[in-house]
Amino acid sequence: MFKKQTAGNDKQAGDDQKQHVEQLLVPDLEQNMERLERFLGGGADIVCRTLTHRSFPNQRYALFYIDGIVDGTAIGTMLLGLLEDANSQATEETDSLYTHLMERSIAVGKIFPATAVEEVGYAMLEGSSVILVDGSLRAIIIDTTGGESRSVEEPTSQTVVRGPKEGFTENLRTNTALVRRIIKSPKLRVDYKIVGRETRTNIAVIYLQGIAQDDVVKEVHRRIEQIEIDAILESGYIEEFIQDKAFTPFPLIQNTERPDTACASILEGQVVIMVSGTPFVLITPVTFVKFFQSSEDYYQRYDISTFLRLIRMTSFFISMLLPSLYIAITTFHQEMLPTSLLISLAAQREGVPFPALVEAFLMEITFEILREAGVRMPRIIGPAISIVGALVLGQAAVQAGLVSAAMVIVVSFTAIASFVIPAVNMGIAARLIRFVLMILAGSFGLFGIMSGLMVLLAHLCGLRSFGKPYLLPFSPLIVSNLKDTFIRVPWWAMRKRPIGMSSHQVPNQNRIGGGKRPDPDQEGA
Amino acid sequence: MKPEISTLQTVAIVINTITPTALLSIPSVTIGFAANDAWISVLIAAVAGVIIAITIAAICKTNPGFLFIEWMENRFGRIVGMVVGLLLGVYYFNSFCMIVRQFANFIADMVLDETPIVMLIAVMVGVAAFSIAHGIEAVARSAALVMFMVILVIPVSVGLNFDDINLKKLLPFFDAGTSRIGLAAISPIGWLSEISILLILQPYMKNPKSVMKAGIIGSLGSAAQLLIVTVMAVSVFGSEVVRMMSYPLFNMVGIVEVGKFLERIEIYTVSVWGMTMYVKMSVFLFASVHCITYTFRLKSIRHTLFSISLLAIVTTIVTWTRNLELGRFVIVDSIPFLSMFNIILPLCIGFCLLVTRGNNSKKGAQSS
Repeated sequence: MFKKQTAGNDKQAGDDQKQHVEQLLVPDLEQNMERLERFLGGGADIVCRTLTHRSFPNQRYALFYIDGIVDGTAIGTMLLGLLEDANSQATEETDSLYTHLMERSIAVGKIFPATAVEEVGYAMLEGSSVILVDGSLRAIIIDTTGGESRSVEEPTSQTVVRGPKEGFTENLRTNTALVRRIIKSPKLRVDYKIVGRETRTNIAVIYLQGIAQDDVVKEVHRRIEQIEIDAILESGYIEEFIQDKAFTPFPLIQNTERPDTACASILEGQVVIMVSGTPFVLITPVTFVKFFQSSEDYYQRYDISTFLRLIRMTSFFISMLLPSLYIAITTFHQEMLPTSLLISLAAQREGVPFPALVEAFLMEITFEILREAGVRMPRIIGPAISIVGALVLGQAAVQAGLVSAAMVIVVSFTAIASFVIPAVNMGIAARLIRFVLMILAGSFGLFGIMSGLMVLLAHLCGLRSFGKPYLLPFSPLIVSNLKDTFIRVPWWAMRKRPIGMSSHQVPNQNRIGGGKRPDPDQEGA
Repeated sequence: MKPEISTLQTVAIVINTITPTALLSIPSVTIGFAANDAWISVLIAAVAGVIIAITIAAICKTNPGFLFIEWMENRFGRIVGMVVGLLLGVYYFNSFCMIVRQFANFIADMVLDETPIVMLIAVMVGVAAFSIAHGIEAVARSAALVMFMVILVIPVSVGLNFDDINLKKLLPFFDAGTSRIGLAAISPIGWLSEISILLILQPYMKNPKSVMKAGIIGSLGSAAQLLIVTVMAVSVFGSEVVRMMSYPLFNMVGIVEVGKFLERIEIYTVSVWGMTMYVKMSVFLFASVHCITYTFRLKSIRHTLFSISLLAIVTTIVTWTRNLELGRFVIVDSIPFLSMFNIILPLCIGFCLLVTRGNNSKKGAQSS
């Protein structure tokens, strides 16, 4: 499939090579065919078609491919071409059947020779077709990768109102093409790797040379190469292997389904890692604020984008802190509440048999169960869960006096707030931290929350993503990068790429020419 | 990789090292001595603080880039290095325990009167140790973020108290007499002298040459905070009332009432102040661990940190059996204690550096 990659395969499969010496092809077609079948283990989906050419009656050749993972149309066209060619007389004297096939008869763009049985076998497993020629030490590998795959659809997890509706698919080639279609720069580098002893999953590392920092790119390559695992089924596998710190609730690598988000990151000097078989691509290095930004922020006006970003940040804190604040205030600091609110709260909680902490835990766990049920259940019985959740658990629990109405409000608001955060993995972090803070609030009140936040702050300050400080434009402070954090200034004001992420080479720093601020008076003059 | 602290972060560490505990005791102490002239005492202290900062920074600048204890050992020999390291290690350890106890007492006084103080102390030491386990860089970064929070909170507090501020309460000037004003300045000078932490921090700075700038800005920033709080305390309550208050800083915010729904908001100020307190605790624990690790050339900082933290919890609980003793210690005994280690010891070091300067350059010439 990929020429470069196959070369890389052999390097990667170094261990295998040590165990048994690489089998080279021999001139005898029968023997080659038998060895190839033995390598692939046989199977009904392996197709073999032997042909004879009119000009070389003594030499046969065989077309091999695995049905289902090849592009049927390409195989058909190629076979048609081969048959036509087989029945026609070779016009000029060609020295061998191999050269003739290689140069004159295959109607597919990408072909290349191979000399070892393994090489041929692995190429077939990736969807290539192979022609073995009698009397030749080389086989022809033809790139016919294809087969059924999902078409480009709208991303499901990261939707926008304004902006492109394309999403990545499970097909790596489609995904790299989606990026190439947006960034048509010769500086765009796509490096391929293979990870996984059994799955031999293709991985693409994409970056802009000269804009991404060389040491970051090198580090990404190094960490991916160090992975030793039998299977990679999703980019989450890679993420856990290459992140800087194992024990942290915060995501250290961003993921996205959106080609525009991936491209924006590449243009800011980040490195994108694509894994075959999943629409979620990884973006690294990443900072804390990136998880609160949506690609839409850059497509709509800057004022509303800034407002929405602030709303998201507030939501993050609400989803992390609200239940614990409620517990702390109702348990320890009742004096902070205005009298009328205090009385109303006290009246609600009068019949509730549990302390606020237990009450909050009950409701939070209930909600987490509801949410998980919502994700796992079959789509058809969806409405049932909302009826049970809303009516039975919400209203009835309050009426039965198990929980107070205020607690239901707090938990619902917390839940809604947690859905505002654009990155699901950051929302999960808030979800987990919430429970720890609730226990702290139940034991130490606001002091406990403050201590918890201090621990979080120290932890966040110590985190790094591929060597870059996680809280980047804030700590260490880089004033010029603050333009695109919780606020977004107009495009014409963001003249430079973010410092720290991209390469420091001066010519690449400028994103926008000077004086691009719209000013009709000057244009008229 | 050697951790690197930017100049801004150094300033933040200095400010967060000096102010948290100073803010608790300064208004009561200075106003107790100098009544409505307390702000003059704070101004005098600010001048003295800057002089101390310059002295300390000047000493730091002669450090060719070693860690503090290593530098002392290289310069004056193993014995002197060990003595200095041990003295400072013990000083920072004791101060750390004192700060933890102060904070714990405060929290117990204000809100959690039924929680066993052991729990509070354990949580505090735990948080400080956790921060340090992430390295001095993480502490420095959190210090900078906490400083921004403080910078946001101060104008809000002043703004909310605007109605209650009556600057006429500062009049008449020089009412207390020079001797009382001078006396009142001693305590703030003591706290401002804690800037000697720069001796330990400077080798970690990204740009060690800017230590002078960081020292002066940090010391001025801290003094400015003390000044704002003192002036506000006098102008809001008048000097007579403040003397009777344990925590005038929080009482000021406590009286704020906006409309009928925003009241008793001192808990927010307390929270932000608590964050600065945590930074202070982390810095002192770090200094203590740092000194002891390098004095005894211990291999594992993590293990030292763990054992010192455990020891600190025990020390904090048993040293001051009654809260009154701590109060006395903070107001009276802390002055010789602070000045001994923050002024006299650095001065001795500076003096010795001056005396041995000739020798050292000769040695340097020979070795090179």
